Amino acid sequence: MNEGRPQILIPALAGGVLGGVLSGVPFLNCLCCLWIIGGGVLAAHLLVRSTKTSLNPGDGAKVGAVAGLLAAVIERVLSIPLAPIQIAFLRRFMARMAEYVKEMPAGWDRIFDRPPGGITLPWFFVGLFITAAVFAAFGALGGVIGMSLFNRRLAAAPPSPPLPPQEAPPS
Amino acid sequence: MTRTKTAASRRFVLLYVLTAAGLTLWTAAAVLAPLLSARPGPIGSFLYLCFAPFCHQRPERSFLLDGRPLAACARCFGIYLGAWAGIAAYPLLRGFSAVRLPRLRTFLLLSTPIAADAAGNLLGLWSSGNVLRFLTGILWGSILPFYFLTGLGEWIAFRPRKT
Repeated sequence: MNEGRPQILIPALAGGVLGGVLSGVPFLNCLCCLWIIGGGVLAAHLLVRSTKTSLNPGDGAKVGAVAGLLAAVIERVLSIPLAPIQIAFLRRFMARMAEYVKEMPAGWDRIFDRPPGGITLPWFFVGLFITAAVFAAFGALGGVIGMSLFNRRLAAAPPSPPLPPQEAPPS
Repeated sequence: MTRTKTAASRRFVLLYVLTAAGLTLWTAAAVLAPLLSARPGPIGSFLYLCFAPFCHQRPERSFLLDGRPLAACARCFGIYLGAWAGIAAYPLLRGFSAVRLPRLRTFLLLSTPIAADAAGNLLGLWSSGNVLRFLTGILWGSILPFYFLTGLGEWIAFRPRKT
């Protein structure tokens, strides 16, 4: 047990690996954002277990957000080897959408065309940026939910922490 | 003490506005994707791709707009709209001077319908229509901002600053 500042790296890494891998693998990602929230919950649970000092919802948000960021990197890296499967999924999605629509916009099937070398670097970073922002938000949400579920000391804590009188006006 | 608390409340209001703006943009993108995909250009398809890591996007499980599915399925779209309703209700129910987590039983009450419906569908016990998926999503989504804003507010706005 750690008695100093909460050490968030290992819990965040565990939550990030869980969320990133399960979100990145086709078929398993059918539960939408639930895996990322689950990763945040796991990270908060591990943080509560490994910390003796009092924790609060902010600690849950922090460890969950870091878990979400790590999950985004893992999901994006996994998406490189799994890109052909993912593109096949998206092609099938667009083909099924074409069944609902009388006329698809010209050239829609070329959106998935990639250079022979695979994913381009700008495309990878655009995807990473968007995924990181949304995963961090979902991870933070999961972290706070996890903190509220697993941190029993939180239930006995006052609703809002007291603020220090450091900015009191001089007399 | 009062000035510190006022500054913390201001930071929290800023967090609230940023969260509301981000959620509004995200929800609008889900609605705009089918409308923009009807026009020439890659923006509509790009919006669909943006949602792909977060939603299965199956057309038969999504609401249609202009004959095309939204970028998020009915359940996810319900969660986004529910979260939007929660954001709108937050100032009335909580205010900006302090943060407090919801009660566990409230969370369980609002989570049980979506959990039961998703489990029933996954296990093949029944197959829900889009309206039921949407409604269970709204219920669950409505409580999420109360966790998100409490965590973020406690982390960024209300935590005592080191001098």
